[in-house]
Amino acid sequence: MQRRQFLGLAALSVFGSALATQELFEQAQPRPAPKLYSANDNTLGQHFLSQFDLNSQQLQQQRVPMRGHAALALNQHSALLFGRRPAFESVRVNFKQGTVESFKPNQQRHFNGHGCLSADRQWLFTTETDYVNQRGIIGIRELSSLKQIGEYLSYGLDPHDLQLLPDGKTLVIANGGLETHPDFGRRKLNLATMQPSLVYLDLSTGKKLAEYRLADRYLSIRHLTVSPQGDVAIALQYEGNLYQQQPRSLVAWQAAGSELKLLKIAPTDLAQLRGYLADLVYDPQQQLLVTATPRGHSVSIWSTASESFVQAIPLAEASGVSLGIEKASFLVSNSQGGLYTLRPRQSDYALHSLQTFPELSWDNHLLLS
Amino acid sequence: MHTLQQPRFSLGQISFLLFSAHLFIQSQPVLADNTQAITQTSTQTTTVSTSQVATPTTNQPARDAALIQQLVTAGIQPLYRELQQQSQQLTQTSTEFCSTPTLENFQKLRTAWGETLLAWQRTDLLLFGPAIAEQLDFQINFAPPKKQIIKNLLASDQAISQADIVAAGVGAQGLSSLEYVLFDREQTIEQFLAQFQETQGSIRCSYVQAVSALLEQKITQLSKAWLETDSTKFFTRNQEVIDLLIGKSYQTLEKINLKKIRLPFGMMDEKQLSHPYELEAWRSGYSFKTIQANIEGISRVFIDGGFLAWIDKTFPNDGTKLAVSAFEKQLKDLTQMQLPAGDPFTVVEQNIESPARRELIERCRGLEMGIKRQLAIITQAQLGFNDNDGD
Repeated sequence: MQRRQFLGLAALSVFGSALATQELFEQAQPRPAPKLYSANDNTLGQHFLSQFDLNSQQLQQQRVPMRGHAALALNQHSALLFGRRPAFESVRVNFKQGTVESFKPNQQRHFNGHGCLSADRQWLFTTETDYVNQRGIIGIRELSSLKQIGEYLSYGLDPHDLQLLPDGKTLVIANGGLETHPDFGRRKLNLATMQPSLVYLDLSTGKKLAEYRLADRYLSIRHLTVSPQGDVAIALQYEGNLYQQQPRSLVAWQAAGSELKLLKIAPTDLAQLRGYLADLVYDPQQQLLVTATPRGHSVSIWSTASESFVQAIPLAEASGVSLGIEKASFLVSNSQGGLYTLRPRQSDYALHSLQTFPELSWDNHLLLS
Repeated sequence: MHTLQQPRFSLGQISFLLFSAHLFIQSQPVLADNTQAITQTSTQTTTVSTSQVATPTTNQPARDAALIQQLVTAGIQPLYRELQQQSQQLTQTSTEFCSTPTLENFQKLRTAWGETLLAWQRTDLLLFGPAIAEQLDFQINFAPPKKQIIKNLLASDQAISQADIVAAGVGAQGLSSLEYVLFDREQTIEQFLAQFQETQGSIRCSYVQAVSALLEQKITQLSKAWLETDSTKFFTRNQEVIDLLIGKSYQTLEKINLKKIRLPFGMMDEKQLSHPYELEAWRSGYSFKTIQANIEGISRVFIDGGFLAWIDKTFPNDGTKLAVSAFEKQLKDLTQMQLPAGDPFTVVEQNIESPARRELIERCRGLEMGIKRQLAIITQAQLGFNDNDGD
């Protein structure tokens, strides 16, 4: 199906409705019998998507053909795992049946590790790179068949994460700004000219609605989370030389309808984060963002109310974060196989060990569903 | 030659088992309820908080000029000086061979190529700064070569110039491209030599000469950055030294274990099928030698460059001393060990077991773990599974 045909189809369905989106948000709230999903490797370097039942504490692992990055739960038994860039494969895993169904990008494209669903959960959007023409792509697939039916431009290089806004009609895309090519592995080829951007896209037409850039173009816009009100938080990664210059912050926040701004942090606190945030999650009740900080060996907490950094809790190679089951809590993973609960403790937060699998390295994202 | 008698623990495990036990006693992760982070402890894994081990000496300057001076002059510069010399030798040998394409000169050319390859492999842990500026490293060694581009060039009816090579891109440049036109496992050396003596032989030779000359230019450009400028400026702080050397050597060891050993040996394959074409430099038979060259490079920078001694001095405790001496011994043992006999392609293809093969695998794994579980933790180096740029 060509793009024009797809647009016609999209116009009919509008990829679901805002009402369905609201339901989606409600479904995303912590529920009984929850499961955690994350990509992981074992000590032999084999790749897996794992499902951890928080009630039974049972871990179910399904071996997959590529190193994964972000996961997306489809129901109690199946999930998507997007290949870590540059990936030529992503998979749908059914834990009940023990099956792995692979899907691939079109020619001259590779996956970048993230995807999201339309509000009616019929369409899948994936971040991809057209490495021959050096442009960012949003691949569009029918979820049931995983067949690609079209694509949009991301209006920037290196689209990494993307999310659906609560209106069910708008995609927000983190264009990391880095030029890469599979022939050169993960080498960044355009550091001198990189231009990260945050782009809002009309889901039914692929038209760019808005684009935002940060003043410091070395701050790569990588990971996103969206609040039920449509606010967008961004975890950033600094591509400049940290030993010579620190960035001003590593978290950006855009309240719905407002400007994109950096959250405040003191230079001494910032230096501890070592220029790199990975996964992030937002708790709208507490107005807190929690990010994994693998290089800074910590989990960092930021307040959107005060628009500033709050606290960093030491944790070696923290990798994934998600909302917790208990009120005001979060779940955290690290690449040493640990799963933790982050809970409030009087005036601050503290980590509590939940389970550790020493033979596993949890990858950068943790999903509660 | 070392022999292994089915040790209870692998060679690779022995050194860090000792240290892990020591380190684990001292350190626990920071947890609110003081519960132990390891609920399923194995002998191979320690979970440590980097903030709790190996506190550096308090009077340590942020930039230790003496360390950086020794590192550059005694560790790094000699490697680039040798690389430059080898590439000059390669250019000269290719010229001699093309003017007199005899068997003897062909063998000399192959040897000169091999020595240049190994000299380059010794700098593998130095893939930062000048080496990756302008993607110089890809211009020196891009693998695998783009065979069709090279074939198209060789089909030319005119001598191939450096400009042609530049225009063809990195897939037709550098060491791997030269290997492709200088080695062929399907032919005897005499048969292969004949290709340089036939009508198209002069074209093939012009390609070899142009690639060799361009390679020398690129290597000279890189070497000059280290040899003819104040290259100590590439290290602005001690922490940068640590992050770069620990991080890059870990990447080298990870690459060895994953791509040069596990993948070709079929150790990642569910059916344990070997993949000899995944070996680096499989055409020339240099696959195992490149591994040893990688380790030699680490050894020269870490030992001759004074980095290990500096770690020992800067992060003083018994665990550090134990880890540093174990790592140094592992480096020396691996650089001195006898490599598996025979053509690496055949060894992998036919899955030929030998004590030397087992030793190579175990020692490489041991070094990787030594960096990951010990030196990186002691030095609080920037190293991790999930912190690659852009993810």
